[in-house]
Amino acid sequence: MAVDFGFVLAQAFSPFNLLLAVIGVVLGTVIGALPGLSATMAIAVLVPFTFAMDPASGLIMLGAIYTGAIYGGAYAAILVNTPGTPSAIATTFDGYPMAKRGDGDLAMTLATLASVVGGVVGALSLITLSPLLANIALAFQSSEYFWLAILGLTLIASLSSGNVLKGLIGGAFGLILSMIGVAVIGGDTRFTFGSSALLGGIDIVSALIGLYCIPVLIDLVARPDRHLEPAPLGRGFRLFEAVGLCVGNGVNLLRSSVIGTLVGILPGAGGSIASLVSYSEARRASRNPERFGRGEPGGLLATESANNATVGGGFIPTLVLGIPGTPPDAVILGALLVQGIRTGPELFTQQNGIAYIFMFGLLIATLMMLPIGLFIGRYAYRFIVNTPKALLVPLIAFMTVVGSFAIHSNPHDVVVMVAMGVLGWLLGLAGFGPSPIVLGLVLGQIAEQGFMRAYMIGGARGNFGGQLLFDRPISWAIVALILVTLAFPVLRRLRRSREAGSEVRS
Amino acid sequence: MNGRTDIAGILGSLFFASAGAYVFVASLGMSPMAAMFPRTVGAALALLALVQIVTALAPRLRNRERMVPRQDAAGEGSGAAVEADADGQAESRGRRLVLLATMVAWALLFPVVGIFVTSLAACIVLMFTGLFGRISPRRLALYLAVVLAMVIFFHLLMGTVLNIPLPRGLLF
Repeated sequence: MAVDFGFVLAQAFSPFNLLLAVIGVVLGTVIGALPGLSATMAIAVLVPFTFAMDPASGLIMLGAIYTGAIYGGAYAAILVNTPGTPSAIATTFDGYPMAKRGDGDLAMTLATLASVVGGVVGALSLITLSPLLANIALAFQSSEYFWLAILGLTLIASLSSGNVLKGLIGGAFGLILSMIGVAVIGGDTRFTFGSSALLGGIDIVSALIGLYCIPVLIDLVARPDRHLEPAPLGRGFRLFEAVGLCVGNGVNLLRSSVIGTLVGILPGAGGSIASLVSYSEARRASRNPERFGRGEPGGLLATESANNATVGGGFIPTLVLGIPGTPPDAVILGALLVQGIRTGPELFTQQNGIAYIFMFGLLIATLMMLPIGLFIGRYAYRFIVNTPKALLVPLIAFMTVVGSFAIHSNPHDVVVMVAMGVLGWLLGLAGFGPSPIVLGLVLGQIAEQGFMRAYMIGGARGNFGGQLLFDRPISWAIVALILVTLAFPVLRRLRRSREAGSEVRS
Repeated sequence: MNGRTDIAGILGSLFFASAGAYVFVASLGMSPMAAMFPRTVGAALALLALVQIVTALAPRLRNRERMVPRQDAAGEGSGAAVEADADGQAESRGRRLVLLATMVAWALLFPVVGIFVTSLAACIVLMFTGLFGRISPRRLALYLAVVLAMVIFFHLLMGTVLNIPLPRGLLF
């Protein structure tokens, strides 16, 4: 079915959807500016409010919140050396030294411009590449989807936490959580412990809200220090100076945006990885690498363009394959399932062009980030800095409770949210991060369906191994990627120990 | 941090090993179609957790293991500072427990008592949990008014604007 682009543009540019994009960017920027409150959490808390909207509007708002939150993370990174979101970790390297020497205003304007450039490159890649990838994705069979899910888990295990083994354990535990309830194939009731409330399984969005928000709340009340220390602001916006620096760093901006998009496409890798990779590339390619880490605008431009490019890039596997490219995509994938939208190649030919409305909406939201980021974002940051913990804690807690209740108007989801939050906090103390568990929960059904279909087809042929792996070239390629992903941290550790050994000898 | 055994990691891995073993054993009583995947993943989870325990206990690898330092970890200092730090840790532990207890009670009671009343009560408790040091009665009244306004705002937003059926319970 051909997509009516006139209808798509009319929908994307409708006044209501434009308003939602503005509100989403503002809310995302405000939440993203708070250290500890990640883009994932911003979406997780606000996602239930979109359930009352029609799917296209809800998705546009979620995309706007996401892109705004990634951008908002730069504020605290630049002004107080604290990344507002994990994707802004590398922003502190040069942003804070700039602010310390009195260029905080310039750094914030640079971050806004770089975020818009990166976001636009990511969104354009999403619009142009997704339909092509959707056609390629049609060649994927059940066994490939199983291996893709495993690839996503191994990537997040090796990239999101310091310990690959703990990441893999978290991913496997997430897969087990996804099995609770009625089996997708076989129909057995599994691991419900006799509770009828668990028959429907663990709701993904409830689990996400609990796993990401409750540990943040616990940490907020644990320390008496302010959650943010304000830094003095200098002169105005310094827009023309910033534009000049962006033009001078044009290649850097473009390269970092492409890196961000590509890293975003990889399931499991997020803005934090993209910004670190692009930062190291910018430093490697620079004529003055020694300036990096001391307030080099090029470093700031690289990280901020890359992390916003992951927004568009991450949506490519989310929409095309149903595999989230980044953790916030996992939340949005959960929202899509609640809205009754099945991701996959058919999304681009069916459902009244909803995928295209969303993609154009994301582009509009990214462009709106420029005025919003320059004029509203910085004042929102001042407001957040001055919000006392005594009000911040009940505000976040209330949003988690009403948010998880609103998913299905079911009190059981709130209990699940709190239980998952407590479990996530305890596991966090033991060094097990929430992201692999969440990805395992999200990918569980895809992995099980792929695995079991290969088992059934292979069993009928008497060749399970061939159906799952040996007769499938695409499976071979994905398994090779999984092995590379697992081998990379081991090689890095070996190289480090060798370097440490040679330093000791010298 | 290097050289210290990751006790918390080992305890976590023991939990995962037990969970994996339970899933594996439970899958033996399921139909073949429903059992295959849990059996595979349960075995993999138990195996990975056991490898993690062995890795954490192996002294040669232990020194190389990178662990993320917690911001609230005790630092170096004089005896008085260490004592004050111990007091601070006890207080922060108490605040964490209050927050957890409040969240659990909130989740269990709001369908029975009513979402507005439980939310207001929980938010006031959490407000005091997030309050450090003395504040003036005027500021306290302001905070309480903001919390009340916030609960009313979200209640109206969810119940009236978004038409979500909120449980009224025994009260409202």
